[in-house]
Amino acid sequence: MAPKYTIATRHAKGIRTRFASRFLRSLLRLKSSSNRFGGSQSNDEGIGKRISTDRIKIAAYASMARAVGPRRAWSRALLFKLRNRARIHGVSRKRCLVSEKKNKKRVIRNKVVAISREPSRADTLRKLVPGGDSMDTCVLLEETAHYIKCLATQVTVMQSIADRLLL
Amino acid sequence: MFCMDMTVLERQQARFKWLLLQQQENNYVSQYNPLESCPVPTDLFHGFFDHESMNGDRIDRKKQPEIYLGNNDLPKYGGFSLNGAEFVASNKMDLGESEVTARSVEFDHCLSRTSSCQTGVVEAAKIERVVAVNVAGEDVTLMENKQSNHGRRDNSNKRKAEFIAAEECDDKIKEVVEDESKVKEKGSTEISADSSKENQNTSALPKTDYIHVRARRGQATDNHSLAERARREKISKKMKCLQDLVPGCNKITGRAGMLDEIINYVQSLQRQVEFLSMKIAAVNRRPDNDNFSGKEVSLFGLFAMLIHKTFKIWDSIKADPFFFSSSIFEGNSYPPGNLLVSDQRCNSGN
Repeated sequence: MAPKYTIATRHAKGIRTRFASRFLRSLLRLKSSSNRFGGSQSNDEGIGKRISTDRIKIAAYASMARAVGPRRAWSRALLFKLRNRARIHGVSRKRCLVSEKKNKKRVIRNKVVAISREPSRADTLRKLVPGGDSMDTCVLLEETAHYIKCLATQVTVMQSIADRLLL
Repeated sequence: MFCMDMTVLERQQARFKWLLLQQQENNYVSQYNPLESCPVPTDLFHGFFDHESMNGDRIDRKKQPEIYLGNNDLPKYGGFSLNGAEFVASNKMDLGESEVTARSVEFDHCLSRTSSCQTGVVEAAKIERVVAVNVAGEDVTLMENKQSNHGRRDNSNKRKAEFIAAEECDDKIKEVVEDESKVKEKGSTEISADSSKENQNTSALPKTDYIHVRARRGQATDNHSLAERARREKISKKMKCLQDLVPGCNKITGRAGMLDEIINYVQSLQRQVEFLSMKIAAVNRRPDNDNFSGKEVSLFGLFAMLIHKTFKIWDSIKADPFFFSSSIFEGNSYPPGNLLVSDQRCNSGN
């Protein structure tokens, strides 16, 4: 299966197939890990070794970013963010839970003080597109276009997977 | 757009030939002197090479010989010497990656003129500055048609003229620009056929990275406005691409509404991803009876189908749900929420 998978991800034309293969693979991995630990209990709200909604969402975004590759600024930023999050989450959960709350408050306070003007449309777009903070308007629009295209394919592939799984 | 450039090219070539004929009579290069009136050239060719790496775009301008036709008036130029036949014909300037063709000539030209022009070719009274690019191998790159008025009034306050030192071969060369908004009001006696093309505002991207920009009448033509205009055009081009991607944006004009629509669309797509991930998690949550659960089998089955698809076995996977998103594969923008429509399409395709 491994060589076939690499072929599928490397030579497959179109971002759709690349994303789909990666996403399915990560879903299988999630499922096997959940089966290993606690049977097949999967809970949306429970933190722990269960297939949660967030994990699937993260898996989807990560597989999409990897399928796109490091060519695009938004995919690089997304991968970087996910890796940092994985690192933080993996190292120390208990400590982070407490400290994150404090950090959030501090961060929020700083942000409120810093941004005194109403966020313009470009600013909201920057918040939506990963890595949009360090882009000027021209590059931002370009990245938004590619990001929209990839998001649309992601949605269709996930829809088809969900429908297929339900049947 | 390109066809318009070609006509410009043809016209420029015709003009070149005509001017070369006149070349014998009066060819001189004058010093730049914005304050004094200088003889009006009947036709000017100015090219500029300017290397400006703005997001990969380059504005190249090349200076070309300015040809005064039939005007020998030189009192204002002091000790300036006439060079009748001084066409530095084979002057090659290497400006980065571009090369000046044999026609390029380094010289300075006077920009403000108030005296009447020749009875020869009188271009339209509108000033254009064409910041063009000389694609290597092509002769026609630049045309700066400065139209002088007929000496009726002084436009020195309105005109901006910059001196281009052609010998410098700097990466950033100042533009020579003249704003002729007032000139056009007076109008010229003869408006050649070129005036129609001068009213266009075209920007073409030839095979090199240079920008070919033509200033519209009445618009400022200094460095900053040019740069801003180029930036604005880039942004509007990208907004048009976004308009094709986002469904339902055809009716909306204006940047603000478009941006709102784009933001809404991105937010809705992200919400859909979250909803679908919830759905998949819910599907996975179904109690499994055996070790080889139905979901795992289906996941493996999906995976296998995908592998088959990559090896292009289309028949066995026609029922593949990935197919219904073939519209995206073909490049259409397909709103991802229409599941029923997609199923019908898939069925009809089968």
